[in-house]
Amino acid sequence: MVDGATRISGAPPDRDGAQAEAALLAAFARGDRGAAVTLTQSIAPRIFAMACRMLGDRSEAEDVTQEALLRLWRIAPDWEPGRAQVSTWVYQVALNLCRDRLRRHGGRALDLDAVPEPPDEAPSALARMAGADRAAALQAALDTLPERQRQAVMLRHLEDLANPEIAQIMEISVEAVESLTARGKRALVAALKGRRADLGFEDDE
Amino acid sequence: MTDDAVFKAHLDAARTETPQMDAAFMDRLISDAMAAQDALIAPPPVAPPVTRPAPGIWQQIREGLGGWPGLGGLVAASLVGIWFGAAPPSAGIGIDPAALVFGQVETYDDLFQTVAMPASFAEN
Repeated sequence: MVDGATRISGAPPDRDGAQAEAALLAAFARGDRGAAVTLTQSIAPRIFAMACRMLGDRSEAEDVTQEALLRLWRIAPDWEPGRAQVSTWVYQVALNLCRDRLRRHGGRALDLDAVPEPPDEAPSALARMAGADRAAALQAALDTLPERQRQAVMLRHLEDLANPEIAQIMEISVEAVESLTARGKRALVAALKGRRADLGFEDDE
Repeated sequence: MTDDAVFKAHLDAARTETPQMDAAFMDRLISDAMAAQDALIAPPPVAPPVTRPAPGIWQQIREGLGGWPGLGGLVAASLVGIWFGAAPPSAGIGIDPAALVFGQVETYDDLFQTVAMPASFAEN
């Protein structure tokens, strides 16, 4: 049994995790308060992080997270354990909600500077700033990618999801996921190449 | 530094910078979850008992006469009675009920006279 709190960091759920999520959802449907808390704490932060990266806006990401979870609660009594992983299903719903919002805003992330504040326990102020700059540079480069490439790269490299799971979330084949992530990665590497000096890579190692 | 290493360094930085949720937002989501749960496990609303209004006088009369079928039979019988009274059937059965009644009266008169006759003769 996977403790919900341990996966907030975004580690990919395994088969045991899938069964644990399904069991928690069944318990939720029976009125188990603990299951409601554990599922929310386990799924919401990952969905919020993805929505934030997709939309570049915390408030919009909160709306998407809230709506995706409400939809999960509504279908909880009818959930078929074998059909999909619970968190995969929520990712799929959230991704579609993000797409709808992006379409309304003209296809681009809303605010390229909406990068979160760095955590206080970073090694040193300088390293922290370098890290924040690199994260911001990656986000800016991601935002220049076509929507589907951006989604695939984020799910693969930032959410650490496996290709079959990404295929399920994006409703495409595994081959299509591989193609999107490969093209996305090439484009990102090319975009970041020109900024190596700015981002302190010449001084590293 | 290889392209892959640079890319990985960017990813590591981005993971460290993963957007974090506010505690207040998490609390709101948990409240949402519990409210949704309450809605799921709440018993279905009980339908209020159907109260029938007390039967009216006409309804009581109708039911006393056997409901609509009884009332229908009564009306049909009444209409047939009125019809027979207004236009008594003559052809077909061969007997005129009125003539039968009057004929019977005449027959009794005859009988009466027959019985009375010997007495008058006796007087004479």
